[in-house]
Amino acid sequence: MRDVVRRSLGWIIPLAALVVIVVGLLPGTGVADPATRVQQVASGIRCPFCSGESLADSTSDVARDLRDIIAEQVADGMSNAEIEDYFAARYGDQILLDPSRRGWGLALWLIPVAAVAVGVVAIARRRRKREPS
Amino acid sequence: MIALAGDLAVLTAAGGAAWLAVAGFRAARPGAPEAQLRTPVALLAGGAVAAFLILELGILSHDFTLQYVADHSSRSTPLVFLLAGAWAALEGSIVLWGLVLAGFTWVVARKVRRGDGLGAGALAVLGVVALFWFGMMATVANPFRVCTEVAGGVCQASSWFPLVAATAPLDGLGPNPLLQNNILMAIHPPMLYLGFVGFTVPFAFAISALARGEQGRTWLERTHRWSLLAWTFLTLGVLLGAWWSYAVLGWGGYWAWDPVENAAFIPWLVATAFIHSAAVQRRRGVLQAWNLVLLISTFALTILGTFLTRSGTILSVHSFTQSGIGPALLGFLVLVLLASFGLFAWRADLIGSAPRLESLASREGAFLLNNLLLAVFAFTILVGTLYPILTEALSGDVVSVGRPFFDRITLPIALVLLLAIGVGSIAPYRVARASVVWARIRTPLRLALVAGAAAVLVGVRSVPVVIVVVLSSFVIGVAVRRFWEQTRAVRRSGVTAGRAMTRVLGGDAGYWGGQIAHIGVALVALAIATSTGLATRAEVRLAEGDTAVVGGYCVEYLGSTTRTEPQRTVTETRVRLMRDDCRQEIAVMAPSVNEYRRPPAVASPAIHTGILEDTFLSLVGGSTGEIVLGVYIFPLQWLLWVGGLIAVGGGAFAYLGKRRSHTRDGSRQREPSRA
Repeated sequence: MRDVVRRSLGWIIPLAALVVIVVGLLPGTGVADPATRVQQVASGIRCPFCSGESLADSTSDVARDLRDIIAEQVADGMSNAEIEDYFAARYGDQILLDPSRRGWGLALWLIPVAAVAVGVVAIARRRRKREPS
Repeated sequence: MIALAGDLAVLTAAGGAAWLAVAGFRAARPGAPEAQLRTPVALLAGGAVAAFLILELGILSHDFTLQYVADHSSRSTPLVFLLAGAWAALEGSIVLWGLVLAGFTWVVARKVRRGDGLGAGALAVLGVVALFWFGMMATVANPFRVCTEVAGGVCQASSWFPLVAATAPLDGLGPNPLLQNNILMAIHPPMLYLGFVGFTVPFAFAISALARGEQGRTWLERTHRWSLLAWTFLTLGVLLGAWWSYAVLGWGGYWAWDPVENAAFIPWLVATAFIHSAAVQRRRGVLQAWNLVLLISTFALTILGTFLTRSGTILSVHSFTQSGIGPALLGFLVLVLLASFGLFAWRADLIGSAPRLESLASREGAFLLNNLLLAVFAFTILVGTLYPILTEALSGDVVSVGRPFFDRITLPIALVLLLAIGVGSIAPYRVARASVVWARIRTPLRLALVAGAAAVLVGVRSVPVVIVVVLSSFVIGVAVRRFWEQTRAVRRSGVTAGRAMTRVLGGDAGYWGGQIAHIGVALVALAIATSTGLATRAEVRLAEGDTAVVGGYCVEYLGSTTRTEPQRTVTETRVRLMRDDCRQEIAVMAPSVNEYRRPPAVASPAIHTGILEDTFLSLVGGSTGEIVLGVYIFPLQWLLWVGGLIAVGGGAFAYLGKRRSHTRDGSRQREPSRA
């Protein structure tokens, strides 16, 4: 009897934990608060007059002013993509640190995927070649 | 005079290196006559030590006739930063690099006996690398250039010729402000160099074995401890760099995916892959070719990293120095790649004949997966770092690749890697039956799910953070459970618990060092997840006496003072940190701004570390009577440093444990088989 209880507890506890995790995280797609969104957008935009830092990271005055602009835009209800487009239109595409949405940037995202594919194929082929021997 | 002495020291070392390269090469051929390698090694080491000491002497004696001294130190610089000034800029850091390389060469040479062709060949390779390094020191990156023209208190022109009529500014400029603000900056570069240069030794032995056509793993056995040592220092170097970035730069973070950070992190990833696959080759004789590729890549990537960071090719906050050193490094990189992989192709028939893996579901298979992930990880960051240069060169389009890309692309790789660490580190060699693996991960898996649920219950709602909590707990649980199981087995033979633990740990120091490092990595992953995924960031504008509530805390601006130190002016604000009721004081903090003789002004953040989270205050801006204060809250931030140090400790444990098992009875102890 004790054994049965122990064994079932061994399943019930992790299952219960899993349920807690899934249920707890399901509504997790809620709207981020404005400060977090400013941070999100700012970390994706290069500070135009600093060397290699994002608007979120730079402590320069320019970066602070631009962060204020982003905060206003967030307050006005603009989406992240709209804000990024606004900055891209003013300073050029290279101000965007996340190159996911345009030609060359798309290729960059595909390279790691291709690397994984090449690696998996290489391992698989090596094994198959040696199997018959 | 000091310039002449310095140049002579550099030339002595370069001469020793050239001699060593030639003599070592001749002694490495099969059936070669005995060769004298001690003298060239002594010349190399002696010259390197002398060059370093002479540079330090020049800095300490404020000899501003040396341009390097005039540009990177001053009379008011504190002693610690004077000493560290010898590696605070390009030319000096190359001197330090050369010193480490020469020192390592000397240590290697002590173990090379007569008739040891493999060792002689390795010394020849080290000689070639040293020749390049000291050659650069004598030409494009000469730290002993003499100042010939002063204008505006700054040395404007200089000459390589040591006997030229010298002039000197009254005082030097002092180090880059970012570099004289924190003691970590004095320690971080030497650690990094010990790691980088350390991998030159296994590389040299591998190339020597390849060139001599030696099959087998002799080179791997002989350099195993070098690899562990180099990895340990490299890990420490990267960790200290992140720590410095957090404590000094004041932007509220420790990792920006800056090209210079990547330049150290990419070799770390490849070196980590090498440590793992080398373990497989040592035990099972497989992955021989792959090991060579990883080792050559590690070495080439350290050169590439130096090229990227020191030539100013990529604009970044770290580009303290720019000079005509780029072509030299790029040329050397191409030479290394062509020679190494040319040799590799030439000897391909020797390398290819390894025994095959019995099953992918085994420790070997897990190592292969780990290697694939680490290699893809490294490759992705490398491509991301080089991409802006590549697209600009190919099409003229300017593309920026920054944090959003790196964060997003590395997250899935890192998660799978954590899972692979957990399962792989307890999978048996040869063939892993599912039932065996399941028995070893069952309990840790349950505990990990409970830990994830606990995270959700205390209010964590970020999906990636919860996944990392589960996976990190899993990795730690697996390691602890395995240790507990083996200790229990030993205790059955009737020894005390403490004795049993030391016997398990000492029995296979390599394995347990690895598991300690895994625990460290899991803690680091957890800390990265919580400190980024759950961070609170805000900027508040405060007049004197104002309070603001941010993320469960209340800050009050108390006022600011300015004081003048010999080398800088410090504007220090006092901010009271309180609970969110604005009554209960936690601490009075002092974020400040430092202005040195040369720009930029450096903001020193103030950090309050609590058990649950760091409160990080940074002065973002301000004018009289009002400040703009960055208030950042990073949950579990301290765990990052603790986890990193545990990983370093794991490397050190494996390194030291190996020595014990080597020396106890003069021969290598047999490790208990673990299948």
